[in-house]
Amino acid sequence: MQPTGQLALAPDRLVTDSPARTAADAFIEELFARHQGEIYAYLYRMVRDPEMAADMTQDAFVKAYRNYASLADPTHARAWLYQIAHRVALDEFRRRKIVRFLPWTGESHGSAPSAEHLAMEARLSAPLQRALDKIPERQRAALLLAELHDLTGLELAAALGVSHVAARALLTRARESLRQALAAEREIEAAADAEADATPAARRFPPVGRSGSAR
Amino acid sequence: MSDRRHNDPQSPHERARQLASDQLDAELFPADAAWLTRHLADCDACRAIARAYVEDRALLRTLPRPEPPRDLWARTSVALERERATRRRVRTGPAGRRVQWPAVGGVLAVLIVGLLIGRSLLPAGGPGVGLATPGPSRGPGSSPIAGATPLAVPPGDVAWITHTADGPYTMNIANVASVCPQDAAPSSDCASIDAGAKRVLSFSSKPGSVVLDPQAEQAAVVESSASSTGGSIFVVPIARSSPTPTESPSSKPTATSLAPATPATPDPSASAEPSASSEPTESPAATSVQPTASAEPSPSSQPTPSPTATAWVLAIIDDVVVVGGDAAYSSNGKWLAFSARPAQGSDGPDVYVWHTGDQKARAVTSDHGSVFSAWVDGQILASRADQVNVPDAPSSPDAGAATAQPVSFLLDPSSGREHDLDGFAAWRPVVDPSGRWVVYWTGSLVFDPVARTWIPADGRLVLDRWDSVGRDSSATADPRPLLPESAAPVHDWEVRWDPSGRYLGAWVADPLSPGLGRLTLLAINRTTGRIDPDHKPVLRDAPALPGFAIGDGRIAWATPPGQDGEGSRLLVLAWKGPDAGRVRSDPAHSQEDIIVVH
Repeated sequence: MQPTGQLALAPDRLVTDSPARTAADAFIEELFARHQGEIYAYLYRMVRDPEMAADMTQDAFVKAYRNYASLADPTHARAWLYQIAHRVALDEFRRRKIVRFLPWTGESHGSAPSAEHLAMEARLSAPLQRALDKIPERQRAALLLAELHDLTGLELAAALGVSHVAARALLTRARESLRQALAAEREIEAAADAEADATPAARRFPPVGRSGSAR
Repeated sequence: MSDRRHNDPQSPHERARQLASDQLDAELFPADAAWLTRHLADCDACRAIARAYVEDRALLRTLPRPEPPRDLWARTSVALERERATRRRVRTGPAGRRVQWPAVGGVLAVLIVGLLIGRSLLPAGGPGVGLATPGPSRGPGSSPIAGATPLAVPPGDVAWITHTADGPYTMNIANVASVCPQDAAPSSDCASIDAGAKRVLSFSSKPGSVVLDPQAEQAAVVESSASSTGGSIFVVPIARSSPTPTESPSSKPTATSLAPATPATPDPSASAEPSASSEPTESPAATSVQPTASAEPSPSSQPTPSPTATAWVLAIIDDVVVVGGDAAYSSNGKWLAFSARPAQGSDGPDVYVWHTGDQKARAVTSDHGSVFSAWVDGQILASRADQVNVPDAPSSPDAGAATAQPVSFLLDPSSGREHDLDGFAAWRPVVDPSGRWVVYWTGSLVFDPVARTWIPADGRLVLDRWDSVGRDSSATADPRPLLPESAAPVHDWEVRWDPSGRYLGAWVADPLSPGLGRLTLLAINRTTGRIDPDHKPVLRDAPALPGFAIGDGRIAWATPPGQDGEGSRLLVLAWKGPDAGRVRSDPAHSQEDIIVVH
């Protein structure tokens, strides 16, 4: 369960000039302390890259700081923050989709993945994660926010920047997409298992568990 | 309770699916719950789906929760402090323009080299960076001429995008310092330009066009988009640095190979803060070049490019279809202008501008009927329909389309204020760099109700005196046909002048296949405006894809796939005095088009 608490900042701390800077500083620190874990988790689940997720989390909080004055009601800070994080994620997907700069050396420009990352990836390589990866990004966002981050209907709508009705429809489409993608993944896995069973024992790899086997 | 009474799905099974999903999030209305129970009792498939939703939810909740890195706050606090420092500079700093670009390095450094050295096909405009001058290792002998006696031409670079088999779209840069003589057979005597080309960056999907600013500080990448789905325009900031392309771009760039982007002087006219509404859509990737916490930069220090930095781009507009003339930078490189309409077709086009440092482009027209044409003297030349003639019964299937006459006007990019040009009846005029001559289309427009855009119907391209246009001019207009009269009407075209105003390239789309066209190079007497029909080099009606580039002593274009049974090629025609020659690329893979960077 994600924290659903509300910031204790009083509305009158959200305006004024010089004090506003102090209020903004306090606000963002409290916001970060409360929600950095879930925002990072959300962004990680969206982009599946720990370093990128960290950068995007940082970016989301900087944007929240920058737009502090636009938050009229601090009791909605969590949904507001998710909205910012969601847009950060969509921007990243858009950027990836359109323009990607690749080195011609074929070398990776990122640091080597940590053992922790590799272990996490191994867990996430199960059919569920593969199915999640296959559904459209907005649907994936809706599903993650509703199921794993426990946003209410109105919060979900606010985070996605759509109406309540549209959020409901998007969530239903997401569930349906996930159901179909999961079914397809399980069929693929079953076929692979069957093929592995038909392979002579001497040529088989040692079993490493259902999700990681025969793929 | 959920508010599902509105917009109920039409199919009972779809409704069951929606309600089965809804009931996971909120209690259903009693009537809906009863209906769902009854439906599921009779429908095995829907019952299985409803059960799957519940099981999938449970499965989702088994996903591990990733933990943030321990230094996340340290990194974020550095970024926040940098943000505070930026605000302080904006509020109290010296007059000038706020630039929000972080430094660039790492992978983008490769891009920077490529774009810098690829600039020489652009018209000269702002402060020169000597890009047409070859580097020490790029002398005239570097062009890939084999067999034929090469013709030396002023060296310069060409840039184009091609697609490798099953790979990304790649930008290639080649220096052209010598070409095969015009009468030599290229296929037998000339090696491909690819032999000396360097691949410097790639695109994961096909860009529609890439436009560089005159100072080579930015590039605008227009996404290739279908008319119904739309696309985005991205801006890539480029470090202002002397190009040093003496090493192979294939070597891994280092942070020190290029200077970080130098923030330009702040400008008080720039908005101090982006609006809250637009801010969250800013590209997040900018943060990827922030120094890591271990670097511990002071708040006022420039971001240090990191070898592990990820290149980033800024999406200045999304979900649009670009119409009218190509996007173009102003001569000082500070503004980018284009016209676009919403992808969903809700409105017609408006002219947009984007200023360096801004987060988003903004519309400077609101009539949903204006198209960008070109820049002239720091102002935007735009066109719209005038004297609209709507048929008597427009809803009748037999009714003709609405028609109109074009009119062009000037727009101030900062204020959006319009300046009338005394009813200048031109569509998409383009003025030569010396400000004496203008090429425009004259004729009648017809309204395309699907695209909600006015498009040229019957008309022609003409060359006219720019000083005769509007502004209480005493000069007399003297329009003359730009191209030999043809039976085929001109619907789509591109016209670009070379930096001297002596040459212009004119590409005219094939009326039956608008994605193909023919390119002609014209020599203009700058005093009389007369077109010299016999001037060499001759390039007349060459089959070409849209998007050619023209520069000092050269013009580059892409041939359509299928010419001589081959794929699309880049062709470069270069000249020096009366002598001219060509060089070309290998044919592109399959039916892919080559895109010329201009």
